[in-house]
Amino acid sequence: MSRQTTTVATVATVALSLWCQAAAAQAPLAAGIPRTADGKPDFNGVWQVLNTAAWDLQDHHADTGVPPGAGVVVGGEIPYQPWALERKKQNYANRLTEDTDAKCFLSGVPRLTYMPYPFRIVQNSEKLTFLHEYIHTTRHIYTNGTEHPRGPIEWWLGDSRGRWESDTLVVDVIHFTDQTRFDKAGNFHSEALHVVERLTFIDADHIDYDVTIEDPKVFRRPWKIRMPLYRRIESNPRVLEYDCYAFTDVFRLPS
Amino acid sequence: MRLRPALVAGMMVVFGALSAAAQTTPTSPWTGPRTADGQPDVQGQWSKSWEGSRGANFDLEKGIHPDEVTITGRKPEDFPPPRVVQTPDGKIPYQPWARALRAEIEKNFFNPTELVHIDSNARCLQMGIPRQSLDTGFEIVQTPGYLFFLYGYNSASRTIALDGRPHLDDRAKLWQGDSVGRWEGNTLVVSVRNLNEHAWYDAYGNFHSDRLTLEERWVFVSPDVVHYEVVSTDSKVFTQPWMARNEFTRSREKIEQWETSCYEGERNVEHKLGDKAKRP
Repeated sequence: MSRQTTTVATVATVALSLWCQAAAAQAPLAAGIPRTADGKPDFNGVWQVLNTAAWDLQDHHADTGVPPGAGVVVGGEIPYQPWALERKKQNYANRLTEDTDAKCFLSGVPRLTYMPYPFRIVQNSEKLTFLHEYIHTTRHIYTNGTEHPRGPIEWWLGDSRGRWESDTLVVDVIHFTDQTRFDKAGNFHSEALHVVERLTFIDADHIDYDVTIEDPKVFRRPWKIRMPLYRRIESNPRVLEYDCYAFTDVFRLPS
Repeated sequence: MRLRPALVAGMMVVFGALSAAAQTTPTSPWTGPRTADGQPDVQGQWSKSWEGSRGANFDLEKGIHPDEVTITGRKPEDFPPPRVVQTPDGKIPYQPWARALRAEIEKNFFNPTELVHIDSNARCLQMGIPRQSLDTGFEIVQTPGYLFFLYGYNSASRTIALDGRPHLDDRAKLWQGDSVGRWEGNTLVVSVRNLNEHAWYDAYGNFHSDRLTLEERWVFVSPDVVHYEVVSTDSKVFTQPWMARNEFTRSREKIEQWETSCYEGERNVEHKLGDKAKRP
């Protein structure tokens, strides 16, 4: 990366960081949201997105098996470096065989959050555990002050460490592989991906999910996606199983 | 947090019908700490502790791992006796046709020619209940109205709803089943329904059908020791209900569960089947 690009990226990071801090500082303690015994916002419950980000993060029209949708990228553009834009186009071309969703592999973060399946958040004072219907995936976000383990580590979901900034859960995620993508349209990252998620209650049944994505190997600057998470408000909501590699050639009794 | 009376009566009948060999651990009052919503607080890391409780990674009836016999050269009788299956002869009470199928599976296990001959867990499919509960340690996390088992291995988990909700309709089948529980003193009583027929009891082909129902008792005999007793009822495969048990001990250590992706690097199928390997 050239010095100029680095400078631009750094300025952008600082600006974004200041914007986030300002946003957090302005946020008053919300009334009417559920809280845990220790006073933190209580995210326990079943949640799901209502959008088409899993197919394509950006504005897109319909295709076979692809619902149309307005994008979730703030500002609309994903700031790929020139080589990476070419790679994204190749990824699009091979999406039906090489994407994790085609192979039933773990989706990575943040993609797992906006897969079109529900997930349950299990929260205590030590951590938040996300139990996803998609391939029975478990994701732990530690909020007990522990640091990321020392790398190099390449995990499908990365390593998530959270902290509370007022009523916002801020999750820092590193230690990724380069094997996951952001969507079925071929948007991708490298193992240098750094994700910062910010979860803030809008009201008792909606969470503002705001994600900053940084990867100096692939993007010219950090960029953001943003979407609401909806609480599944029906009584007895369940997270079942979508084990997508377990539908054929399994043990069956003779009929 | 109440089960329907009919369900409770059903559980009593099931436990009452067990043969004399199945000694159940009595329920006692819980005197330890409680969670904010009044459950016995049993959170933390639990590991398999019972001497001889060689679980579902071994043949549940024989208590051995056939590969282990081959590798170590020890005789089968030199291994600890199997103690998980609680029947007078230590055998699972299969109906005759099911015993024959079990023998057939055992034969294919060492010379697999099809995917279905391979332990589903070796293919990274979920272990299912009760295998998961008999085989591996776990973390328990409790939130109001729920108790969760988190297994770490293969990212598996289990949600026990404590709100007395009805089970899913019988047509919906799951690897881990649908679990509804309640606390009775020191005992978590769980009814499991909606199990599929794809999961085995162990790595060696002990099986059940999708008519299987489970009544589990997790008896916390002290804050750090739990006796696990599970009664299997399956009118298609077994001649009578039978019980299996195991014991787990709580560790005060704080252990993080790090990622154990499985299917992403799974090569067992191609090793075992060679050219015949095909991805589902």
